[in-house]
Amino acid sequence: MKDYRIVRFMLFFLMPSTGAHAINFESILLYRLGENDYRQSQTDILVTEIDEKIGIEWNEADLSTQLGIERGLIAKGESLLQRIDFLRKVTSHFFTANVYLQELKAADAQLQVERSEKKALNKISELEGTRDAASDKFSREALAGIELVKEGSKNLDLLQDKTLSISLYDALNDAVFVGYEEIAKVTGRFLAVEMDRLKEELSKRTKEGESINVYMSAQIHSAGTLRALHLEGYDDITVGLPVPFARFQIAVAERTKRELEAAESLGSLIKDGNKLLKEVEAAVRAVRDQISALGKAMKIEALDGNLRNLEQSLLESADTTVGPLIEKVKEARNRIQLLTKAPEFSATGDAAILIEIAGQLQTTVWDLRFVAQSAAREITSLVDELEQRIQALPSAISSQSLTMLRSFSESLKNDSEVAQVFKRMDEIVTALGLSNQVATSVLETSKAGRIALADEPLDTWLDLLTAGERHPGDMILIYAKVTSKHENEKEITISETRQRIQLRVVGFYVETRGALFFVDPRGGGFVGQNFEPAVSLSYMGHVGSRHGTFWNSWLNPGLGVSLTLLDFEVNHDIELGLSASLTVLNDFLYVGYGRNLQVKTDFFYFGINPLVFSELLGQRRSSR
Amino acid sequence: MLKNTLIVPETDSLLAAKMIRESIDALDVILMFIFGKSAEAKQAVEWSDKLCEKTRISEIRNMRKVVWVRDTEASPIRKMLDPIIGTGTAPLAVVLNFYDKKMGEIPVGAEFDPLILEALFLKGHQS
Repeated sequence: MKDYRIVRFMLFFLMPSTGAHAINFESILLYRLGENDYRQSQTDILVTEIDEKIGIEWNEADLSTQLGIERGLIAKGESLLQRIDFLRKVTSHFFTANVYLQELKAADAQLQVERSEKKALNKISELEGTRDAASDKFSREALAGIELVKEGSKNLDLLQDKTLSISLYDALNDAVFVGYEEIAKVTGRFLAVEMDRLKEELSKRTKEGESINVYMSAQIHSAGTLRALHLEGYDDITVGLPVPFARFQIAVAERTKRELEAAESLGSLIKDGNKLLKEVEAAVRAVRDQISALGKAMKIEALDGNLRNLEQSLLESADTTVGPLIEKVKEARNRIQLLTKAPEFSATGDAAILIEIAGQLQTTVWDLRFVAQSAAREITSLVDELEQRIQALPSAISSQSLTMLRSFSESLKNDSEVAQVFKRMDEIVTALGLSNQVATSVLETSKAGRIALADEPLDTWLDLLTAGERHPGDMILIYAKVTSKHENEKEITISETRQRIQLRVVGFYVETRGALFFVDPRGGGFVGQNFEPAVSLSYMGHVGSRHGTFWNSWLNPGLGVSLTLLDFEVNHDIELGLSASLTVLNDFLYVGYGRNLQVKTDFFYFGINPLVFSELLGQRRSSR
Repeated sequence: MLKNTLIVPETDSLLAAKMIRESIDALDVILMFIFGKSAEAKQAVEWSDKLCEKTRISEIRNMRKVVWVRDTEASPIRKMLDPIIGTGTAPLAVVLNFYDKKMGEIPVGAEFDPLILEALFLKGHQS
């Protein structure tokens, strides 16, 4: 697991956090998708084209204001905040007015064209209505800005700095001849000046050595796996060359390979449920045995006894400064206790449950490895501290106890026995053929910090063209977190949020999919071959809609052809089925009719996409 | 140079009235009337003319226009203006919307600047 990496560090401010939802990100984060802007929303899923560049903009004025108030560094009514609020509103009005003015010009141009072509009166009347609405909208927005400026220039409390108010008004009187874009730029410049003042003011009021960090990360969730994506300025993930989405994909994509593998595994499970049940049960037993072996390899029993004695003697010592040391010992004990606990699995013959258990075993092994590594680090750190304090606490820290802990710490650094135990566990779960890839890939995400209110903007972007393999329906997950950190203290999360953005393709496209079909031969003497599982490769055509969220995200029907490996007769080495397929739910459910080309027999089938199936199980696991 | 202003002649009141009528009758235009020959009127014309530029759509099309009426007393001109400004003294500036409805004015003697003139134009954008 990678640690957070702080790329820039600046003295800033900190006061105790009041919770992880202190910031309203809706007014702070803006997503630019194509020509449209969307505010941050934890609940809404945004939609973007599959080759789009996603711009992510931070409203630093609002972030600073909210942070200043949240951290108790600045009062809500302070004139500096009022000026910033005032300038933000004015800038927003003029910026919007400029957008509306462009709409008005477009509406007027269209009206003039229709008039010159002497179109029917009702058409002209309709265009006049559109033009009038645009004109009205523009007028009200621009007037709101001007009225606010006039009002602000009268309000001495609001504009305590008279130089600013006069020069702002004068500057706007010049800019108004150029246009509303220029007016918004001018107010934006004044806002930047006030923002610098706010930064300066907050820096003065903060404690030395404290900082506010902003973290962002992006991942793509595609067919049950998560992959980290590059967010400019926030991580050092290598990006690939820009590759547009292939509308007619014939080559077998990575996702398809995983689907085919999963289909094969699921097919085996279903074909021989008892055999696999026994294998899974054996794997559960084997993992339990290895957990026991791990306890022995790490000498957990002896270590726990040693730590218990150490904890007791520290408690009995008269030294009042041993409190943190006792806590450290307790934490180390708790950690190693976790390594002795085998998880409970209730294996049954149900294929779905078997897959789930296989996934849980993978997660368990991963958790154990993480805990073992953490325990090793903690014990080593504890030994270092005990060595420093043994002179001051001779009665509490016996040299025998320290020697044993030191030997344990050293053995963990070099011990191949523990590594061997984990290797055996990996082999056991890998042999089952199904793994919970999500749990591990989440931890691969590179995350980096940026200092809020630093000179460099916090804005970033994500170029989907360089995001590697991606498919319609895949989800982009953007995480943002604001933390505070004082040197030598633990980093505290002030607030965090997440945005989901779904990828779509508008128009026709073809993708390759792997699936598990349940094939029923029609006619002939194939008794006992009802709905036998068979792995299939499909070329599915879809039509993406520009506006239909339900159509794109849920129904997404597909029509295509499938190649299926069949086994109707023993005297044919290869039996290939060619069929027409209809799918729904993003190629999750299949139904179709085809022909076994070698045996020359028709067949009917229905099928599922096993990766989507196991993904659902994964979601069920993670929701527990 | 004034690019968006119609200067109504002082010497021929009949022609002036006809030009005012034609300006009012023109479709899809927001009209800013500036009245008088004072220094304030000249300043208002200069600024208003420049303020029209931001709504220019092409070389020949602009939805804003300024009409400068220097003589407001001649009978044919009053006949045109009275329905708009009433029978009293003409204000410094009046704005008409796309449908020739008076939407706002700046009285003679009132302080004004480019932002105030722009605000008057903006009122003319409403229906």
